[in-house]
Amino acid sequence: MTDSSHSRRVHLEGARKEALATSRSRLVVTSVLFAVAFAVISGRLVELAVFEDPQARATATASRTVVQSKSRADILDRNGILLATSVPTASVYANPRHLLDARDAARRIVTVFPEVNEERLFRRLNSERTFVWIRRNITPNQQFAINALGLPGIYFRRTERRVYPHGSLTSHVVGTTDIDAKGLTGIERSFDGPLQESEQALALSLDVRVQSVVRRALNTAIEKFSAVGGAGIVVDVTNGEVLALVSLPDFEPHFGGDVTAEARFNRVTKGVYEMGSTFKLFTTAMALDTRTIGLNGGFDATKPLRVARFVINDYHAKKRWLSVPEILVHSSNIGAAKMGVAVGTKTQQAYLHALGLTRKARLELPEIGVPLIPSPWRKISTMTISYGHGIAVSPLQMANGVAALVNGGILRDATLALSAPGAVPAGVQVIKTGTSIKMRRLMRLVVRRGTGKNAEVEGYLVGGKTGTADKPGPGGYAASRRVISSFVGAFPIDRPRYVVLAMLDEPKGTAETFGYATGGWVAAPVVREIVAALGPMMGMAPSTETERLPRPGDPLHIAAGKPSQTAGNQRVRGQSVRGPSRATH
Amino acid sequence: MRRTTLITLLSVGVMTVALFYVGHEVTTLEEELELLNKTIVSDQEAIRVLRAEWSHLNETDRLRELAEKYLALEPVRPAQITSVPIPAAPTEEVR
Repeated sequence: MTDSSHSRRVHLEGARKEALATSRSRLVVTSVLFAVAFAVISGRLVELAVFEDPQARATATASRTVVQSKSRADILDRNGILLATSVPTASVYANPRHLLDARDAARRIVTVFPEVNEERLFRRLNSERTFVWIRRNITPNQQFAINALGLPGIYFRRTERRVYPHGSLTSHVVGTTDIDAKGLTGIERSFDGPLQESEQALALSLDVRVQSVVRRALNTAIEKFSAVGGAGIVVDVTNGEVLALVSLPDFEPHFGGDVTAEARFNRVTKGVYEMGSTFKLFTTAMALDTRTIGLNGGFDATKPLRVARFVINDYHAKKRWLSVPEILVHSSNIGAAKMGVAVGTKTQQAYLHALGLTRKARLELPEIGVPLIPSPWRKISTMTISYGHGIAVSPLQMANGVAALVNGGILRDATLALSAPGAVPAGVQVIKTGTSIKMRRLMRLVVRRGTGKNAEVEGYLVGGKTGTADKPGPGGYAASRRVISSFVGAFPIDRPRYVVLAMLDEPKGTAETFGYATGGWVAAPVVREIVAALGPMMGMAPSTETERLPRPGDPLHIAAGKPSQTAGNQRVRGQSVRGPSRATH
Repeated sequence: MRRTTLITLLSVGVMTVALFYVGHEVTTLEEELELLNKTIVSDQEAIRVLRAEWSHLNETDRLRELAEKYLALEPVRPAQITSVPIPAAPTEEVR
């Protein structure tokens, strides 16, 4: 028994031992596996917690932080005033397949939108399509009302609406977009790509304050003289920036299609006009620049100029020899024509081309007019162009050309984009600096002693030139009796900063102007008003110098004479030639 | 042996509770984040509308009318602008 029990025990011990060994080895394998797993997890934990993984950090933080809805970029003026922006609106559409009763739906929707035609809406809702616009850009109240109808199959979509807080004030510059927010006109069109792609607001060189002053002054003049339209532009001569660009009549940009073509037409950039006597500035500049004639020189304006079957006349003829300054001051067509001939056709063409008057102007607007130039350019063309007939340019080209005459002779393309402070775009020297200085003195003289007296502003020295051109009509120039009256001025003329141009289309004289509708009577006061507001606005110190009149012996001396001293002098008309202008058209 | 089991069970319990708690927290935070993002977007849109309205209220013609109605002020005339020499600031030595 002992034996057996002993042996059994041994046996037992043997079996137990075996089982223990097996379980131990299993345990070891399992623990090793677990140890390895835990080691991997710990390692990963250490890696995550201790070592920085930039990618992981980026993933952790970048996810779903703000998602601003992308919208068309804003347009600002030079001081950051909002001119165009996009505001979110709701638009309502229907999925006709989800509609229970198209007839009932149409009837109920019309109660919210009375302007929608019920029958037409029903036909569209009764289709097999899955998407039908009901109304774009609805008001929150309308959205609430539609929701309250509780119609299935009617949904809203978040859309955007372009808003122009300043309305018609900048309509010709900023332009318009279509219902899908694509640029149609103006800056909206020319910068369509950048405005759609970038969120960065677009800053223009325009200044709404100046724009407002110009628009108001022009509007007053248009009403006073019953003109059909007007144009005004203010250009910084030092860098070509356009501070104001007004074409009247203008339009409310929110009205979309319901705007007349007349109101849409940009008279400053798209319209080309025979500008009349303001062109004499260019004629004089090229004559002085080529040394064809000096300030002392002059031409005989005793008799009307006869060329072929045409007669060039002075409106208020002096009937004597006129010096170069006198030709400008009295705005003599005969003198200017003779000066043009003396300069020569080739040279005239070269200068007008250099001044950007014979090619399309460059400006960031799609609405740019092509100037009308005579072809062939005969001697008679040279003569009429010398006083601004027989060539049609836009007021923009005119202002830009005059800017080059007064700023030291450098032509820079006008621009609507705000340039970086201090940045001066390269320009082309088109006349000598000396000629430019002479032109300033001559332009000042026109305002002091000549046809531009109404542009005189107390405090600022304004220089400029009037222009009155006959407008060709169905019966030719003579029959139409309609004029384009303009004044182009620069100030302060001793150190020009701004060129201001005002133009009125078909003004009619009033009793106050003794029936005259010439540039000196109707456009010069507009420029005066603009300068008087613009100067203080820009913080420009008024001129303190006392100006002396040129004495006899000075080439700039203007002989005291009959009408040229009195208000009657203003009647010196922009003068026109009937025949030749017609001939060159 | 019993003790190990107990500890294991206990830690499993603690971890489960902790995991549930963290998971819940994450869900709550995500909801909050979404809400905040929505608020931000709607605020941004409201800002756009308000900026447009502000610009509209600052329309030059409107401001002129209001100024003429309520203010005894008028635009600056050229003659009102002058330059005044500013005396140099006193330096240390002068003091």
